[in-house]
Amino acid sequence: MTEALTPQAWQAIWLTLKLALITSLLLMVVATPLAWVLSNWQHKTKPFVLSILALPLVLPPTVLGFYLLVAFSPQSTLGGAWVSITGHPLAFSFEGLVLGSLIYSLPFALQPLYSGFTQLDRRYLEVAQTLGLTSFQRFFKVVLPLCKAPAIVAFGLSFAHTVGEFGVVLMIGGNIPGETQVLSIALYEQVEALQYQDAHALSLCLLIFSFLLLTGLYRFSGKGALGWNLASR
Amino acid sequence: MEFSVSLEDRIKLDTHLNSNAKLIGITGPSGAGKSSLLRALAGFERNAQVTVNWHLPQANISEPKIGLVFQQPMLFPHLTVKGNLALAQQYASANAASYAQVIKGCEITHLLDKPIQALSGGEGQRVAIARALLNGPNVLLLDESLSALDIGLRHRVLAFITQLTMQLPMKCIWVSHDLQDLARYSDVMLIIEDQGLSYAGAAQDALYYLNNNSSQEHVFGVLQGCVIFPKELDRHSAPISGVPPHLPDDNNDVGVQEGVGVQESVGVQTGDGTASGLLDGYLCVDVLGHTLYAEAARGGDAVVPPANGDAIKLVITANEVSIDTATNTAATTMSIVNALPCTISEIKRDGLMGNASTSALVLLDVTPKESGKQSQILYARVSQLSLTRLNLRKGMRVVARFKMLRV
Repeated sequence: MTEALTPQAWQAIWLTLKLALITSLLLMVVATPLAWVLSNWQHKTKPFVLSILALPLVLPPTVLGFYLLVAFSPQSTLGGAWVSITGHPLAFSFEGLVLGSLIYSLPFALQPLYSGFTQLDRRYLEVAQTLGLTSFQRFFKVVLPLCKAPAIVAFGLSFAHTVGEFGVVLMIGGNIPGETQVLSIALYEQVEALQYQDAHALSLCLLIFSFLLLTGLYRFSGKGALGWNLASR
Repeated sequence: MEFSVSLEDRIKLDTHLNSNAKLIGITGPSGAGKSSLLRALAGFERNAQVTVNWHLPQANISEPKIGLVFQQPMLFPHLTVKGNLALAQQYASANAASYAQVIKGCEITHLLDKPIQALSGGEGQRVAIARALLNGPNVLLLDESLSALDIGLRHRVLAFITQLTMQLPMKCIWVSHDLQDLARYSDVMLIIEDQGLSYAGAAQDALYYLNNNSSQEHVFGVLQGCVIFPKELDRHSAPISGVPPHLPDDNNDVGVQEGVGVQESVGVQTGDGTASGLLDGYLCVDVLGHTLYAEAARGGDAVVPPANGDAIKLVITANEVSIDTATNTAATTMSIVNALPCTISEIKRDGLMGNASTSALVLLDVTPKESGKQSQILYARVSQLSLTRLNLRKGMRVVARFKMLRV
């Protein structure tokens, strides 16, 4: 197995896993409170806000990647601020990839959490309220434990989705081995270079990995926590 | 106790109740707004306008803690029974009853280590009530929270809650469809129909209202009395003094203290071990100076057995009562032990059961032994045949007889 993959492919695998792990962990921190706020929020502009957050689901990744590339350039506010703080540009860096992946995979973390929160019987919270728990205590002691399944699904989906990222990375990350060359890009390069045997090995790894992850998620969620459309991409 | 609740299209009421009432029963058809009322009182309805003065016995309670138990237990499934109780205890007020007492009173000792998913409906409801009690509410709202309990268990839990309302600064507002339960365990009752209040007042009067205004099949009366000391029985004398079978007058501020006084006197008497109102398992109850006999149902471990002087309610269905035109209550030639002198106040020939031609409902005013006491109402269902044979009519003095009751 070790011989079947080139050292460069291994590097791409580790980089991809690192990116996916960091992205999904950060997404959980961002998406959990966001989904909770959204599930409790009623306003006529809500469909508008939900659409913006779901845009990465339907937008071609290259479109998203292009806008991100523009935003990451040192001439833009975001890119300029990044350069002045860290000393190097955001585009074509690992940090840039993390930021891009966060936006790209956000709906995949948000959706399961949002539906989990909206389906939660509010009477659990009302009971907790009468028992004297503050809204923070209710969230951490009641809401989160009761929504463990959607949270794990959200983590798994954003991880899997980040592993499968291609278009956005191509636009904002380029192809720097060890820095921005993720699995899908490495595979693309191998095919371009007609290294079909290497490409086969890498593809098979990715296929098995994705299959196992999804099987695990479906087995875990059992009854319908993945009820929304997985095949949106 | 006053409260006024207004929630658009769901409930609108404004009422003033006896401030000494500890247990407030609510009934009414489904969808009438009972749950909305409790939800509004609990503060869950943001659009509701609620003004309440609970008149809690302790003046220092500025913000009363309100507990609500739904019909569905809503126990947190990620915790065990113990975990649910522990969470309630963690945020409990100083008002909470002791853990041991609540576990015993709700009869959940054997459930403590079970996961929530393994509980039956009735077990879940008991755990939910225990969770609410351990949190130490000043006002406990029960929204059909005992509906899945069998009758014996329901009575034991209700007796336990009644006992807690005596011990703690706690009131209980409970919704139920079981009128006999409500009559027995409520001090005042509200009847809610069509998103509004159709009746509010003493439980026995609510019954009168219900018996007259609905097609109730099982009409029953409630007699209020107090448990008397067996020694008093031998002498056939008046009951021990000082125990009002009725709630103290609302306008009378010493009412609360009076209630406390009763409890204390009971405590002293139970101290010598002879003051229990039980005589060979029978309970002697004084109603308006007359002695009635009842069979004491076994209470739960946590429920103190009835003691001398305890106020008690007897539920007597109309079918249990027969009418005797011989007015000697001391007759010992028949097996029916209870006899109450009454005056017929009304005869409803058309009845309420639908079979109008064969039976009639007779309303009886129980005559107090000593004058000056307010009479109480009893119902008797008699056949049309008896009605004609005995020539029963309004204003006639008769004796109502009924067998030993279970309390």
